[in-house]
Amino acid sequence: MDSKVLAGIAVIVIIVLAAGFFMMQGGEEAATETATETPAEAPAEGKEITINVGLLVDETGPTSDVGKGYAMGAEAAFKYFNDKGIYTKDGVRVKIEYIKRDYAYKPDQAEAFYKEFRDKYGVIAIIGWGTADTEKLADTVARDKIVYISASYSAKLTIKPYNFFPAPDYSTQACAGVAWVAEQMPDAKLALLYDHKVAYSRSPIPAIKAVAEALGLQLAGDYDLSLRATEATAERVVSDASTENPDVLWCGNTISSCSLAVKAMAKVGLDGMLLANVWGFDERVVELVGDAGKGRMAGISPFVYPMFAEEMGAKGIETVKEAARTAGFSENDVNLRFVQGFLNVWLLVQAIERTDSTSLQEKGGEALKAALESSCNGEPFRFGGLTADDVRFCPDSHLAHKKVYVVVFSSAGSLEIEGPYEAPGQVDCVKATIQG
Amino acid sequence: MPAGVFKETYRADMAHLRYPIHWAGLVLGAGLALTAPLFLRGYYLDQAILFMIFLIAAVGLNITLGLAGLISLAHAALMGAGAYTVAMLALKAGFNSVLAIPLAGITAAGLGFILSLPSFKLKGYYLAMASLAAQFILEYFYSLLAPEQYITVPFETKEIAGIFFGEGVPLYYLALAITLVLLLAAGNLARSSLGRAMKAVRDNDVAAEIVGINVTRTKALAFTIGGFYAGVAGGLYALYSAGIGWEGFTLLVSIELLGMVLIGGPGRVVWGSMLGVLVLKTGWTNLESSLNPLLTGMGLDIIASTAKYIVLGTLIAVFIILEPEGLIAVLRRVKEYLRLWPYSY
Repeated sequence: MDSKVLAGIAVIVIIVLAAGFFMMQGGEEAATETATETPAEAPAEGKEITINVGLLVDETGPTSDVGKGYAMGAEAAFKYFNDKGIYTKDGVRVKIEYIKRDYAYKPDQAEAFYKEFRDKYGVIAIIGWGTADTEKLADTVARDKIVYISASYSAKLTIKPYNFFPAPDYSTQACAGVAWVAEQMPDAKLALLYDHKVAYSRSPIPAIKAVAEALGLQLAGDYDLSLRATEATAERVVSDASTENPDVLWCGNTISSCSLAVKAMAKVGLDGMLLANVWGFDERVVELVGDAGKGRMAGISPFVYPMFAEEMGAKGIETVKEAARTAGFSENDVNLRFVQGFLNVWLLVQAIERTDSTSLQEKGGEALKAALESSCNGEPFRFGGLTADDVRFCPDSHLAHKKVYVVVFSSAGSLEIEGPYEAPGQVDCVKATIQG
Repeated sequence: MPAGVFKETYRADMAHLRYPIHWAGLVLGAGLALTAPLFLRGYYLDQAILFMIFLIAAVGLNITLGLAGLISLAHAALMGAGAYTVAMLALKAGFNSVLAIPLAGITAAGLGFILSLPSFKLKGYYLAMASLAAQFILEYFYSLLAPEQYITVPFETKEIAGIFFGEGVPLYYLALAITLVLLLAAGNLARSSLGRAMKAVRDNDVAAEIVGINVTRTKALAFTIGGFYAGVAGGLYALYSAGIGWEGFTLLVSIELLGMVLIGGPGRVVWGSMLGVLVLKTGWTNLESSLNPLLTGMGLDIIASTAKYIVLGTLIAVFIILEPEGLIAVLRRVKEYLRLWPYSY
């Protein structure tokens, strides 16, 4: 046989043998190596351990209008709790090293950063952001046993073992919102405006349709309003919707496009109310929408707005404000988004405080999951009154609770908070969304 | 005794390994590639897998664009065809994702053939516009297939005989084996009669037809083969990723692939593509993870979010104007200089 052919065969044999060898040996070795990189360092005499946590945010993508405040809140919380001291049950101080990445709302980029968090930094928990990326990674984080606390409140995440968030899911929130609408206008006609290509916007739609039907409301169609809508596109979409003469528009996007939709309502002369999802409405609407929104816009929130915290006795806001000061932010930066970011980290901190140092070191995310789920039949997680209800997670359902507030942009031009309202019992809103 | 290495037959002159340095390179390269899991851990092994995926895609585009001179702005969409083939087969039919990779290549090759149809009549900008339209049509189609922005590829479909091929060492070796086979095929294609026909069509299609080359067939094959490579890359990507979505195969990714070919070396199918991917994918990914937090920290959020495209655009412009043959030509000059050093000629 030709010597070159022999050489070729030899190369192939070497490749196969090497592959087999490393799959059996190298693979295990690599896994061990990763484990040694993982988070928790051995407690020294000073009894302090360090854990790595990923922070995935959108500060430059299509949801950056709400993502920047969230990132600020999360960063402030990390700095504040690190300074203040986080202690496990057995009194060992835990320092959180957080690694922040801006993925610009691109699910593929989120996955790349996830792998960086996991493989390069050995994180045991991640404070995450969007719906598509969080849902896409849900099975992977479960496999890797990394606790993932997201800003996405998708119903699909409530049944995933390592996904948590300190709020009701979007579907339950929306159901409570629709119940509020039914209370105000029992025969209302409801049109649904949302980005048909975005998982976050689409998330609660099946539940809204189910609950609207159950409560006797009429549906006036689905309209594709882009997350990146311009004034012109918002006007076109609202104009299309107005042909059905709806009484209420649901806006499932973030604040920029929802604000444009309200302005468009005024422009095309559509009377009625726009009810926005949690990320579609916050303190800034007063400025963003102005007169066009007075008396015709409301938003759902499972959290107390900082501006109402004092009158509602939500003392947790003092912690948030103190953290903002510590981290170098002004009190003006403390808005709903800031609170949302802060609370996700606070939940993680409380989970750490419910673990012991040995479990945290040896089991990492698994220990945090157990700590979070200890609230099912034990002490719930509380955030100084900033959430609409106490937060509990059970192993079979991570639905934190079922209550939301409705914040109304009144005719007088001020924001008014109502509630809390609970999602009606007629429809299982989580199930409605999961089954699509 | 001859001063240097001289080839006495055409076969020897056309061989892949002609000089001692080629053999040394092969031994070193093969050694590094085979033992990479020993020194590349977790994140970096992952980067190596991603490098190979994009290398396969870039080689495909280099065949279409670099060898045959047919501009395609729909290469990412062809990658998407491969990825969606694997994902849909896995999700809907429970088909094994690893075994579906050849089907991914065939699907994308079929689409590549369809994309070649306008090239029979169109050239240059007009062909670019036709491929641009194809990119948008396919993107829209993918968004209909996965309205939730993503389709998960079930873990259980990524296993063969209990070995999980979704990440780590097994995926690395799978990608390595596929990459080596496809690189070898691409290297041979460039020196085959078909490769020479492609170059002739690229340089002057009228003259090529006059000398008896079937231009239509050659163009169709260039798109089809390029599509096959893109499809295999997409199939591997579906295996590598937890889920795929249309946003992973947008026009920007097509332009990124175009940049890899133009910057690496159009027409230098293997080495040119390798350099391009090394600079624009692996290099940039590592640079970005330290550059972006820095820019964001300085309040330059907008620059951070667009830095990649600013750099990509600038590099493409610089290479087209100053070095149309790409980085490979720069390296060749360096190599020649060192070969003759300390003499200038």
